[in-house]
Formats: sequence, C-alpha cells, structure tokens
Amino acid sequence: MSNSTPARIPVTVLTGFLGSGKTTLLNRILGESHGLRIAVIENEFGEIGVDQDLVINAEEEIFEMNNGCICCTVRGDLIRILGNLVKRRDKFDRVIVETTGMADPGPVAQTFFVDDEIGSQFALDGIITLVDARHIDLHLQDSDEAVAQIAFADVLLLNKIDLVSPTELQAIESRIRAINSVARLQLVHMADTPLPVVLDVGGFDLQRALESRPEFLEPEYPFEWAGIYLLPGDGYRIEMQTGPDPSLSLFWLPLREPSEAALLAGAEAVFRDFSAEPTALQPGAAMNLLQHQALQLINGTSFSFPLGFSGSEAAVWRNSSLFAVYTQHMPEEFNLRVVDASGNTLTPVAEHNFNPAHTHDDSVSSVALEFDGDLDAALFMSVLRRLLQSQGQTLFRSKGIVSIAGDDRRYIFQGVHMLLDDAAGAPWGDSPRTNRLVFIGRELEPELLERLFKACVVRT
Amino acid sequence: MKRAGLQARQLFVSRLDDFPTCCGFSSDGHWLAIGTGSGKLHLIDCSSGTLSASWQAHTTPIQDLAWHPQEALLASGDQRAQCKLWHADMTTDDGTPLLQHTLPAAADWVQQVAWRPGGDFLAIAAGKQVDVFDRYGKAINRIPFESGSVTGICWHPRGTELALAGYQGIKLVTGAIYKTPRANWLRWQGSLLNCSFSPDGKVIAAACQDNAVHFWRVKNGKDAAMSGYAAKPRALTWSPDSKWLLTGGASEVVGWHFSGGGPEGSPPLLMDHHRDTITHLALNPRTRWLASGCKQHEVALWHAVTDPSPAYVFSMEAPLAGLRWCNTAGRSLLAAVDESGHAGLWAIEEVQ
Repeated sequence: MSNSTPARIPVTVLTGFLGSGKTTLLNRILGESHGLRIAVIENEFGEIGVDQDLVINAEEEIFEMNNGCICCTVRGDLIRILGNLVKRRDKFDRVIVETTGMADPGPVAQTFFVDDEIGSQFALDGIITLVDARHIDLHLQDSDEAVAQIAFADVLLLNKIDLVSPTELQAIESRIRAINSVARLQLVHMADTPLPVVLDVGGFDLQRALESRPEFLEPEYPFEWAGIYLLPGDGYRIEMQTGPDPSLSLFWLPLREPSEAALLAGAEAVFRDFSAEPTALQPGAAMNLLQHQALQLINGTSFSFPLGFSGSEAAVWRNSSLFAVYTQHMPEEFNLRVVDASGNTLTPVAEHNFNPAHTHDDSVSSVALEFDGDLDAALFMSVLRRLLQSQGQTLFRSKGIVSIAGDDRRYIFQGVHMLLDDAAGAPWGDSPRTNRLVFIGRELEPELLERLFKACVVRT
Repeated sequence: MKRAGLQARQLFVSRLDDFPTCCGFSSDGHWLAIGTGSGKLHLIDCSSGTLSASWQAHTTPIQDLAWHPQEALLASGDQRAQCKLWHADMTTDDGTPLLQHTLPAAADWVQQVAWRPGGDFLAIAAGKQVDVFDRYGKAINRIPFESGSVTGICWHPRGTELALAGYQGIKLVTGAIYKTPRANWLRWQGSLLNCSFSPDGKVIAAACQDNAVHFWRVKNGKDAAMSGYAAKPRALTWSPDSKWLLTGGASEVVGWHFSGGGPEGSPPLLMDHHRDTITHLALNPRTRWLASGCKQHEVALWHAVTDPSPAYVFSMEAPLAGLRWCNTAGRSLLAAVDESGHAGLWAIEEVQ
C-alpha cells in the first residue's frame, strides 16, 4: 500500500458533450476572483475567453502502453504538458483539464495511475461531467462515450434544464442515476454552479465523496407514474384515448396524506399487487380500489371508466377523499385524465415518475455496498485485485473506504478500469468502523459483489 | 588498488529568483547559459565566475536551449512557437546579447532545439513537426512526424541523418537539410521520450514511456529493449568510445556494454550509490568522468564508469534541472542547476 503524498497538485477533469457548457463553466471559473491560480489544459477546440497566462492548448494524443492492455491507454500530451508545468509549480495551485466532447474519460483518468511521474506530483481531484439536459437522451442512445462520461463522473452538472419540462427533467435524472448513482448530481443553469462543487471534489480523498452517502437506486417498478387526487363526493371517472398499447393497467389506493413521500411509500405496497395478473375491464365498467385492473382500449378511440361508487366498494370510496392511482404507462401517452361529474379535468395534488424512461438499455450501472465488520487485509486485497483484473475492462470506476482488521486507519482505494490507487487514510478514532464500496461499470452483478466482499469480514 | 579522487573548486554559485528549466555551455566553454520558467535567460561568464547578463528573452517559459558547436550563438525555444538566436559575444547597449534571428516554430511548445554537427543548420521540434533552418535563419524544411508529437530529436554525429522520436518509434530522416528528405522508420509499439545516437553513429537509443530503454542498430534496424527500470530512464549518455550506454531511471546508474554480441543477453553494470531515482547523467568526453544526479538533489561524480563508488558527492537544494560538463583551457567545468534556482559552477580536479 502506497503512502499518499499531500503535496500533490489537484487536477480536475472536465468532460461533457459538445454544447453542454464546458467552455462557459471554464470561463466562469477563470473569471471569478477566488484567489486560486489555475492552469487550464484546454482541448484543441477550446475557446476560453479569459486572457490567462496558463491556458495551454492541447491536442489529445491517446496512446496505448506497450503492454497491449486497453486499460493502459493514456494521454501522451498530458504527460508532456504536466511534466513541463510542474517546473512552474509556484505559478499555479491547481489544474483543470478540459476534454473534447466525444472523449472517453478513461485515458485522462488513467494517465494519473499509469504514469508514476505524473501520479507522484498530481492527484486527480475529480471528474466533472456536464450534461446537456436537452440532448442527453440522444447522446446516450448514440454513443458509448456519453455513457462513459456519466459513469466516470464524481460530479454531474445537469445543464440547460430550462429547455426541458419538469417531467422530462425527472426522466433524465433517473436515467443518469441508473448509470451512476453515486456521483453528486446538481442541476445548474448556464453552468452557474458554486465553485466548491466543482473544484473541491476530493475524488481521491474519497472520504467526503462516500460520507455524503451515495443514493441507492430506486427499484424498478412495474408502473411508470402515480398521482394523488382529491376526490370528495362522487361522480368521478377516467377519460382516455387510444395509446401505444391496447390496454393500460392501473391500481387505485386510498392515502392519508397528499405528498410524494406517501406515493413512494404506497408504491411498495402496490408493487406486489401490480405484479399479479390484472383483471380486464371493458369501457364503461367501474374501477375498483386495491385491485390491479387492465383498462381495455380496443373498440373506438376514446374511452371512459367510472370510479366505483356503487356496489360493495362504494362505502370505502366515500370514506376517503384522497386517492392515488398508479399507472402502467405515462398518462399523457393515452391522454388519460381524471374528470369530475361536470367534466372538468382534475390536476393531481402530487405525482411521481417511476422509471420514466421506457427502455434503459444502458447496461452501465452502479453498485454501492455498505456493511460493518473488519476485513482480512490479504483476502480483501486479493478479491479486489482479482475483480479489477477480470472485470477491469467493463468496470469504469471503483472506490471505497474500508476497515482493515488490525489497522486503526481507514483504508482508501480508488480505481479506474484495472488500475488501482490506494492509501491509508485518517485513523478511525471514535467514528464507527464500516465498509463502503462503490463500483460503476457494465453488467455489474450486485449480489455477487456483495457476497465476495462480505466474505472478507474477519469472523470472531 | 588506490583510486584517484576528485575535488570540486567552486567558481560561481547563486540563487536565481527563477525556475531553471535547462542549461548549457558554449562550445569554447566561455559561457554557461541558463533558461528559466519565466522566459529569462541568464548568462554566466565561466572565466570570471560572474553573472554577465540576465534578460527577458521570451514571454513564455524556455523549453530548451542549444549552443552552436563553434560560435557563441545560442538558440532558445519557448512555449509560444518561437525560437531565438542570440549572439553572446555581441551585446546591445544595455549589455544583453544581440538577438540575431527569431525563428517561427511549427507549434506552441518547442520541445527541443538541436544544431547539426558543424553548425550549419538548426532543427526545431515543436508539435508534430521538425523545422530545419540554416544558420542564418532561413527556413529550409518542415519534416512531419506522422504518429503524434515529437518528443526528442538527435542528429547523427556526422550530420547525415536526423532522428525524430515519439509514439511508435523513430523516424530517421536522411537529407533533412535538403528539399527532398527521405525517411526510414524504426518502429516500436510504444512511446519514446527522446533519442540519442552513439558517438560512432552505429546505434540509436531511446527512453520509453513504459520504463524501458530501446535501441536500434542503425545499419540493419535490429532492435532490443531493456526493461525493468523503476522509473522512466530519460537520462541517457554514451561513453566517447560508444562502448557504454549509461542510463538513469533507477537508483543505480545502469550501464549497457556494447561489445561482441552485447548488450543483448548480458547483465548490466550497476553503479550503486544514490538512494533515489537518477534523473540526470553527464559524461565528460575528455576525462570520462561521470556525473549522476538523483531526485533527492544529490550529485555524484564517478572517476571511471566501472568504479564501485563515487569519487565526490555534493547536494543541490531541489530536484535538478540541468547537469553539464565542459572542457576548456585545460579545465573540466561542471554546471548544475536545480528547480529552486540554485545554480553552481565548479572546476573539477583530480587529487592523487
């Protein structure tokens, strides 16, 4: 285990597709009076507007190390430029590297692991990825680089959010989260974000990154949307038109509280029932509470389904006035509306999108593990190294802080593909000893990872 | 056997308020030039041991400098696509050397400047090209390097060929001083950091990004790689008889002996003294004394390449930026500059 040298100069890598706002953000950072002396290594298409002494234009030169390992592709230009820059370390406090839009962040990040000279003098502080909210869906569809840029990020800045609707934004957020659930995600307008968010990421010093508690993934629900309606009295119905499917299944649930939290709590209960085969319901037939029903949309173009205020269910409907409806698809796809007796369309008092993207075919995801127990040092290292060796190609990043048996200091590691940087961190002291590990990559197997690493716990 | 010792007599020492990046002696040994990160050049008069001139030669850091092999003509390259030629024996009214020519480089960062043996032409490597100018500043040729940026250049000792090193090998250019040069590639699937011809011109050696030394026999292109270095063996130097290739990149000076079928298949010579990676090597072509400098600021002088221990050791104050020998008027001079601006000049003498 190598010792960390505190004197290393922090380097921030800025990635993002063309038009995502990298230059705007860079210009802002340089223009701001933060007292920091920043050297910028700009990509060949960069157009920084600030007249600054230490802006270096680099032509990305990616080469493979001679060992033939794809994970050892590095940026040759960066090695040369940083090697030259270090001679002037009195002139700057930190470095920002801007990549071209289509760049895979792998080679940039790997440069700091593979090249000893660079690694001993510079430390990768964090990878910031700017995401263009308007076009990210297209980018994710068309390019592996866009997926990699999100997967590699320590901080994700979602820019141009004023150009999308709140629903679209939510969809984008969850799509991004599905790829990288551990990065700090921040919504920004014109890259207008506080500097500390961008510049003090501490990617390598993972302490903070992991202590901020990575968000765990929302499970995949069989429904895409839910809304809460205030329905006092009776005479309500659903009106809808033909949509992409010949039927739409839904579930009505009475609630006590008109909040999104209540919807989420309800989702857990609905989940099981929703997995059961739905009861088919022809147009005009009344919907029931607490029942998975499939509204049939075959004959005609518009359909109406009353809420069941007759029969044995009627009393239950009347006893409450707050109801949530969970729908298999997004309501707008069927122009689904809840209307009152006089035909007025009602607006839900709260709503939530579950898995709004229709197909995530991004096979990239993140797995965060957290468990107690001291780890056997040798066993843990061998599991970790074997994992990186066998799955390094598809594993974009790995990071963690773990508790090693017999060592009073935290053990911190950070990896890019097959490469690993590790160090002993601060002593645990009074804080509870625990293990936190994060993996981002293609086709991860969460259960397997959990089993492997939990097996390293020393039994007493 | 009693070994001869070496002693150092200090001629000049100073702390420049600057970051030296390179240094070099003029061919007659009269001047020591130091290039710096602020773009200044400092000129030390070696006979009097005084700082003769310091001037703002460039607006950006000086990347490399090279003295003409016969005249007091100094070439310096910067980070803004400029190479300047200064005449140290001719001064302007304010006492600074006369700027004779400003030559445009092909790209912003000048990687290296190199006079052709004989001094009639100057090669300037910048970006993915090498420009060749004549001694009077006339552009002769622009030679492209197809596989990325040029990391180092070296003229054949007789000036017949110019070698360009970089990713995927060495491009050996014949007739670089004519309009129609011919090129021959010495390929290698790795990234080279520099290149260096043996004094007899038979072998060209290069340090590799992946901690190895690679060399080719020029006649038949036969190559070999010597790996196992702890760090990049950027420091390469040849003995005047071309028998020894001495390399840094480890805490020992690693020597490869070119004789018989070697060095292939033979163990290297290890000169063990330093406790840290050797970053600088310089061999005095007349006395054959070797100077080695390591990361921890220490400089060792070896009386002979095969000696088991150094004959003299001293320390600088920061990592080395330059280490050079020069022989003039019967004296052997050693210059060392470090990144904190500490610059020293010593006469090295033998003691029995």
